[in-house]
Parts: sequence; structure tokens; C-alpha cells
Amino acid sequence: MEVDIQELKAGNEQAFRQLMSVHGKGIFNLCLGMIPNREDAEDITQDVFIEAYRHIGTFREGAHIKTWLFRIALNKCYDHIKYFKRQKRHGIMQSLFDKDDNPIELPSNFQHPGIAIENKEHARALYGALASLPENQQTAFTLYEMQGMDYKQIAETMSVSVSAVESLLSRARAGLRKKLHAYYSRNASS
Amino acid sequence: METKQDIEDQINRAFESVKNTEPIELPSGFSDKVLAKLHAQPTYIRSMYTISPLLKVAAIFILILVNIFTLRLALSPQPTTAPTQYVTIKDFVNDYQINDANEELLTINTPPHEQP
Repeated sequence: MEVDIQELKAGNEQAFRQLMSVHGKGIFNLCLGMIPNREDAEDITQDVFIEAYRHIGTFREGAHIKTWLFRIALNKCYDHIKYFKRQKRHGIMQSLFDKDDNPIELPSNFQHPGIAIENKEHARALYGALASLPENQQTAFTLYEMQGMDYKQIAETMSVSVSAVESLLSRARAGLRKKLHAYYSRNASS
Repeated sequence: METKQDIEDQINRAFESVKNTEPIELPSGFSDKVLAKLHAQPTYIRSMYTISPLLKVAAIFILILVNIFTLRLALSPQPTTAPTQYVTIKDFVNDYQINDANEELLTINTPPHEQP
């Protein structure tokens, strides 16, 4: 099903509803992959479409609307992550005096409805490790492992080359493995 | 005590845990919520965000100008206004004595019966 870009640019609400019905689920699941909390992911998805409606005039004819929406969604997710990191900054002093040197900060509001219950604890640890990686590695890993995108699609969405995606994925996996190893070793010894 | 192999297994399970993520449907009425939010948000919020950085830049610029002005004022050489030194009492008297013009004025303003 295609969305009429001209109608969208003309401000047609029906075309906008069509855009949400075609791409809403994909954007919502991408946001859930980046921020594993149903309410937060839904709020961000709403903001993505509001931004898309307001800035549809800047959308270049011939480009893929899905890629454009994914980029908006990723930027919104980064903003959300940065906002929560800033909120946590006041806890740095406290953490300096804490004996608890956990290698992974487990997400407190982890609530991903798409992950099976028996996998929740492992997924939570993985998300904790993922949060400590640089943004681009985090994105490449999420798009590949959770969204099932291929290298070419990821490269297009992230505006990088295919080889850069391969490198990002390899570094993300190595980083995650290191963090998870420290986490599980610590849990095993305690 | 868990072995190295157990830890490796747990790491692999963590990687596998997100691979079979079930795609989630959007909540019902999502489009209506978005449209309601879109119409409820006033447009001036955006203009506030665009003006704010400009104001910050202007404030910083003014602050820099004030600082430069203050520094220049503080570092510029001040004209010295040292008091005149009198070597003898005669010099002092010469400087402060009534001169001829002043004497004349005194004579003019003196009433006739007091004039010599």
C-alpha cells in the first residue's frame, strides 16, 4: 500500500492516517527496540508522526518515506535516551561512594511486550549492556538483530556505507560480549 | 560456582533473547491520539525554541563586550593628578595671593566712604 506524498504535502489528514496505518507498526517496533518500554515507545511514535506531519515539506521526492520516518524515529529515541541520562547525572556522586560496581546498569523500566517471559532476564541484561555502547553501534545492532533489516537497509537508514555497518555490528557484538561477561561473572561469584 | 562455559551459555542466551522478538501491534486509536496531540500543540512552542538560542548568543555577546570594555578601562594608563609641591612658604604665598585684577575688583566693590 502506497502513501500519496503530494496529498501529505497538501496537509490531507486522510493521507496522514494512511501513512500511520502503513508505517506506524514498524516505527513503534523500532522505538520499542531502542527503548524497551511500551508507554515510552508509544509516546515517541506519536511524536515521530507529529514531526513528520509538520516537516513533510522537507521530504525529498524520490526518497523512501520509510527510511525518512526511521531517521526521525532514531533521532527521537536518541533525544529520549539523552534526556534520561541527564536525569541520572545527579546520581554520579552517589555512585562514586557506592561499593556496587555493577558492569551493567539494568534498565529499571524494562517492559518489552514482544519478548518471551523466559527470556526477559537475559534480554534485560542485554539492554543494560546495549545502553553503554555508542549510539551508532546501538542503532546498528537494534536494526539488525531486532528489526531484521539487512546491511543495505541499515546503511541507508543510518546514512553510512555497508562496510561501516559491518564494522559497527562487529564492534557492538564484541562490546556487548565483554559487558555481559563481566556481568554474568560477577553474578556467578556473588 | 558457575564455570566459564556456563557464563558463555548465558551470554549466548542473552543474544538469542532479542532475536525472536514478537512484533507488537499499535494500540487501538493511535491515529486519533496523534491527530488530537497535533491539533492541541500550539505552534508558538516551536518559535520559542528557535528564539531561545538567539537570545543566548546575544547575551553572551553583550557579556563579552562589557568584559572587553572593563578590561580596557582597567588596563589603560590613568592621568596622574599629583598635588603641587611647594618648596618654600614664599612659593605658596605667591600661588595663593590676591593678584592685581582681584585687588581692583575689591576696590570697585568697596563703598565710597570706606575707600582710601
